[in-house]
Amino acid sequence: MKRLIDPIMRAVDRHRTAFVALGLTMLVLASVIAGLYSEHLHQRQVIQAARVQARIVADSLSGALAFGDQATVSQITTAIRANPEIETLIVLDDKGIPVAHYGKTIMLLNGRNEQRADDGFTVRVPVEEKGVVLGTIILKQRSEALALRLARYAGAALLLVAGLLMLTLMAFDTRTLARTNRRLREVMDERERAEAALRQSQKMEALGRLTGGIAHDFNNMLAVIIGNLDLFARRYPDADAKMLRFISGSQEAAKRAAALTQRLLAFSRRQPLDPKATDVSRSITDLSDILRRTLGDAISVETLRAPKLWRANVDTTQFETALINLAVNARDAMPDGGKLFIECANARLDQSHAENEDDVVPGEYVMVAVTDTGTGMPADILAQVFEPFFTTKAVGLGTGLGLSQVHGFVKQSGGHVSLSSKVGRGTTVKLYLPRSFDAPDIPAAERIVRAEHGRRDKIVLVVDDETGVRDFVCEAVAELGYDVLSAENADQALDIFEEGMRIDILLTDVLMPGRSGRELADEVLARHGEMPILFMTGYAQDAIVHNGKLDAGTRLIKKPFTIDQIGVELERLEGAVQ
Amino acid sequence: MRRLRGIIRSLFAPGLVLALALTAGVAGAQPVANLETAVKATYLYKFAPFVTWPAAPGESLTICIIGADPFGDVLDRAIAGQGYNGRPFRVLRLPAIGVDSGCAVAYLGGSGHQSVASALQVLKGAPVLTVTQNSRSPGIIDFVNLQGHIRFQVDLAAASRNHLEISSKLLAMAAAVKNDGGAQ
Repeated sequence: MKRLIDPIMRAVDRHRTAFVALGLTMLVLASVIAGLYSEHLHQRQVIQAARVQARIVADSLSGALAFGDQATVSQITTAIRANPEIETLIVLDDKGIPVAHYGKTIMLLNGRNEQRADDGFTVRVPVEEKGVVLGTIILKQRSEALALRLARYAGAALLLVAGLLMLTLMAFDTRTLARTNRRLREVMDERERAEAALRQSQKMEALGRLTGGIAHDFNNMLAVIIGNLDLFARRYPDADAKMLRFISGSQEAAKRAAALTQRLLAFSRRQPLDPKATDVSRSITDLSDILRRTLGDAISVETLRAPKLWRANVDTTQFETALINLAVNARDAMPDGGKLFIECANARLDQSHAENEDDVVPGEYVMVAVTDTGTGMPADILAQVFEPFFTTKAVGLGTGLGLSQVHGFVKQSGGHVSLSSKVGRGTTVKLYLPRSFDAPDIPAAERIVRAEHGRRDKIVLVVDDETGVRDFVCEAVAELGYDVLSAENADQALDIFEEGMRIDILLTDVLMPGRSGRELADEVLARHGEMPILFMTGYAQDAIVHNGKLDAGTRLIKKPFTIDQIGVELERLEGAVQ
Repeated sequence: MRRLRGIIRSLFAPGLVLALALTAGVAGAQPVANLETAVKATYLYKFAPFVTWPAAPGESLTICIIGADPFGDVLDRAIAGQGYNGRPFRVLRLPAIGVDSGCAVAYLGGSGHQSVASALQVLKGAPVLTVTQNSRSPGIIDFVNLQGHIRFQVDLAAASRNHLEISSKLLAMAAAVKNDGGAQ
């Protein structure tokens, strides 16, 4: 109901001025019409009165007129004169000769029997008895003076204007009130949100301190237990096999307990972190195998990476743990399969974000959004999911520490987590990780390794995920007189192209985590048209060969290769282009 | 008076004003005795609208001059264009009157054939408005001359005997109203 009424009220609010104007206009119109009608009624009354008066006078004068009784005529005329509404009276005998009269002005009747004028109404009636015409009466009935009438209307108009003025003022007053009220409501809502966020944050803080304290002590005790068990196992390697099995079982359990305390510490933000500039997209690529295994066949993974993604200043291992935790939750939310989207993008959180959410510092962040198409969560559960040991899973299936780890890790890293979910639609968790400024991205132009001798003034971009291979290939190509740039995966390589660097030859590995060399080549060709490309591969020709043939401007070199071999291939590519 | 003339001129069509002037001229040329006759002639038909007869008149309302006729064509001119309830006036000149003469108004001038008194006798109880001139045997209405003005007296009893109703308006104009307490 409220949902229905609110838009209407808002519409009325928005068009209040129009509504008021319309109402007032109609009021004025109605008043004018009422005034005109009243005027019309008055005129009719005057006409009626004139006719009746004339007939009465005619009737009372008939005898006197018939028999020339001047005295009676004068007497009656004088009596009628006392009536101020009859302005003029003329009495004519049957010959048309005036017998008596009074009055100042006389309307020209122009042969008519009735004449209307602004100041009154004139009638002519015959004086007759049984059809015998004995004379004529001309009578003018005065209408109320125009000034008087106007004054009367002016009174009403004054009242109307006062009413209109009051209504207008009231309308504007209400409008201002409504606006103020709306603003107040907004402020109240804002404050409520802020208070809720603060309460939540305080609760998490308290929980963190509590669990942290316990976990810390517990961890120390576990260290003693594990140490002692270790010592026992070392000191008595020849002990009874059964006993050693007991010891080993205790060690296992203690280690699991230690892992649990680690996660508790992660939530309480007491775990030691080793933040460094991390390419989160790279981490996600590295994790893709594990993610796929975790999620199973029924769930497909789609990764989106914004170009020129910043590096995040986080502990890489903890970030990966967080990602796996999120994937596990997503999997559990999609028992019948679905899709998991992982999106990385740069994000600037401004002041308004900081005001609406608790603990957000405005600034630049790397945003990682994990979205599932699962069952979703209602708002009341959403509010609790970050609390440690809170779980919606059946007993024994979840520790309730997964999202706590995510929350603790992100908060400890100086970032921010946001959650949104719709029942039946899915859930999105957004991690805002602080941007790393420690290792500013060096422009590609400054990373070029220049050939020291025999320079050819050609730039070769080497792409390989294995550091050893990459370093060797770079050395070799530089030795051959080429300038060299390197990238450890297809995304980095594309970033270099994105920077607008001139690249003369692309030398890429075929099988790499993330996008393959083939995909990189397709992307580069799609974006830049012609580009000599040399693939390096140990096997799997089919990944680069179309219909048993290599594309024009494309060559293949098999690992391992010598410096001379790669030199020949590069020169062939150069020749092919020229 | 001049102002009133001006007003009148503005009120009526010029033709009518001319007609008025002509009438005034004719009246001015007549001797005083004739003016009296003219007044009486107009009174004669003007009595009619103030009188109610027991039966409505037929095609016309007949005014009879019995015996001596002092009016001549003055009466004929006076009734020209006038009507009683839409019926024209008719003037009938007779030496003597009878009950079946068809007269509604009878001016009894008297003659050798029939004196005023005998005419009144004949008309007793008949629905005829009898008019006489200062007569020793007056009719229902009797013209008198009061200080040079033509007035009339009304005999209500006689009217009642003749089954006539006289309007109070006419009675108000009468110089005298005789009512001897006869039949009402």
